[in-house]
Amino acid sequence: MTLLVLFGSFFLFLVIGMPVVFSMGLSTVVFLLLFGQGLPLTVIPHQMVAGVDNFPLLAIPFFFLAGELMNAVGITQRLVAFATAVVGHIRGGLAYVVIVTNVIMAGFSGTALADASATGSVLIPAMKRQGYGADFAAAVTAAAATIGPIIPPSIPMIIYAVVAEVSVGSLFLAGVIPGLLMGAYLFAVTYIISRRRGYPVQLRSTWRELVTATRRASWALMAPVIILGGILTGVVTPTEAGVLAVVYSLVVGFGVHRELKVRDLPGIFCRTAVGTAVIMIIVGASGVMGWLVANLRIGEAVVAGVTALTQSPWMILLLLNLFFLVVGCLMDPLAGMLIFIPVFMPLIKHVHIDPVHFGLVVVLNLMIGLLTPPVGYLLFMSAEMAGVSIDAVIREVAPLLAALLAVLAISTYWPAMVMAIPNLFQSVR
Amino acid sequence: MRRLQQSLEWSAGLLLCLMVIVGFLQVFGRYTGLIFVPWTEEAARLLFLWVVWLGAAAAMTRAGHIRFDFVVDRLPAWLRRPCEVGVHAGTGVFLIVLAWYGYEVAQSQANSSYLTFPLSIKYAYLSGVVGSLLMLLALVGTVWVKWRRSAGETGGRP
Repeated sequence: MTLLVLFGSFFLFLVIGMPVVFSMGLSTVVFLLLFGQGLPLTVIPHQMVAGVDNFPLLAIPFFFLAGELMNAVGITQRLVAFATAVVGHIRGGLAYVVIVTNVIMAGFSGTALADASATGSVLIPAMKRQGYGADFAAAVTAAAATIGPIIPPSIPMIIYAVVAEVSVGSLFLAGVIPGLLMGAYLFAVTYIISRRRGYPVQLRSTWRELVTATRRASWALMAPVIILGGILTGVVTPTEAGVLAVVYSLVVGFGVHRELKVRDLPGIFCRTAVGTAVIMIIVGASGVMGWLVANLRIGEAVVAGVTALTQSPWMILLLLNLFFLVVGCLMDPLAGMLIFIPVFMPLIKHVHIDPVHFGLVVVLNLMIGLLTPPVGYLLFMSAEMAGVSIDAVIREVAPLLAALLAVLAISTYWPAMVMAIPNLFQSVR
Repeated sequence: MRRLQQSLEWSAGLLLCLMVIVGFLQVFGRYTGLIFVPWTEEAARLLFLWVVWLGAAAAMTRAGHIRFDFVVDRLPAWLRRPCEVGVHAGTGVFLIVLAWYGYEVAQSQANSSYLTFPLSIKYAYLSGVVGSLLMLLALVGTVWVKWRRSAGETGGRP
């Protein structure tokens, strides 16, 4: 009954259109008033502030800001030119350019929507001009953008790491191989589609053109090396890597490319501050829910319920995958993660699943959710950029979605692959 | 309303800028050893709290908080209206609770101080109080604008 009131009221508020943060907050107020048994309402503001007052979370605005600054200094166009020089000559060249650009951008940006917006605004019109279907252009843009939060840095991973109390650095490293695998699988599916449909090819770049494109994109290509290199070697913490990424973007913007103007900065800082706040305030509210979940021993109840059905970690991972895929379809990924991670964490520990591996699986699940209706933000965004209907994009995204589901299956059942880099660097350190 | 939005966005943006400077000082100091600034981590956390709460209030002025609108957008108009009223009322109640009890929490922390600089921790908790009150103000402004518009459409009867 107590659970029904807490989660029932939360979903009711959510369904009638109340923002996630207030739905969470109000449901905890209702719960404490009805079943609080002397627990004061001061728990709510206390947890909402304390939930955000956490040093690793500071990496979020820094990576957010670095991504915004990089986009403002014309990095996207340079990366597109570089990717075109490298893969443009394969049939369906521009579709691979979308994928390669996203893989590289993933190394300094932590959000899927920002990547889709940056690459889509440049490449969807270009693909349409060259005779690709607008629906296919939108589908590739949306699918490739899901790589952004898998290859580090990643805002969802920072939030998972803080909620699940695991190392942000380890989780970042766990995303490297699955992220590259996503790129490879999308590449393969795109190749088959392009051959079948006879999509256009670009002229093969000469060595001179390739060198020029690489030189022009070199500062953008170096950003992931600095961020990842710093974290891999343990020289900087993820939060400090975020600061370095911001400073690097400012140096590139003002000193190297000279495309960043001082007058651009206020807009970028304001956008980043509000964008970060919208996410972090939910993190704060989820702190209250997480606190209640822990105090009500909901996690232990889930352990008892699920382990009565099965003890097999493989089966439990399958069930959790299905659960998070449904959550990804129905909810904002960050909200879904913040609500359900505290609920499932005791179960994960009970069946000895590595919480870092599980974190990667959850984030991958929820990114796939961005491609599925009704809450597929990437679908909506790319369909709007391409000027086509959602239905058309859904049809085109289906084979790409299948490729991403294959990566999810491999990542779920081959933990050694996911954990290879974190384990390697842990042993080196 | 627009003035409130702009001033909140600018305040949050400015504090974020300060946060970057403080963060850079920390990294620079730690890796070069040229300067020793012990207060950077606590100062960055305090600034972050204010960025979050002022930014959340700025988002409120333009209905920018993440919501699930799939169901409500498909409801018939006669059902959508009560939902909207319920959302505004519920949000208002929550924000009042947050501000009221948040002030109590802030007061209870008045005698605790940050370790590296002489400032009471109540200023961390006051970010939540100020943010909630500003969100409440933005909510009242939004409802007022909607009420005026609907009164205009129906010839004075809201």
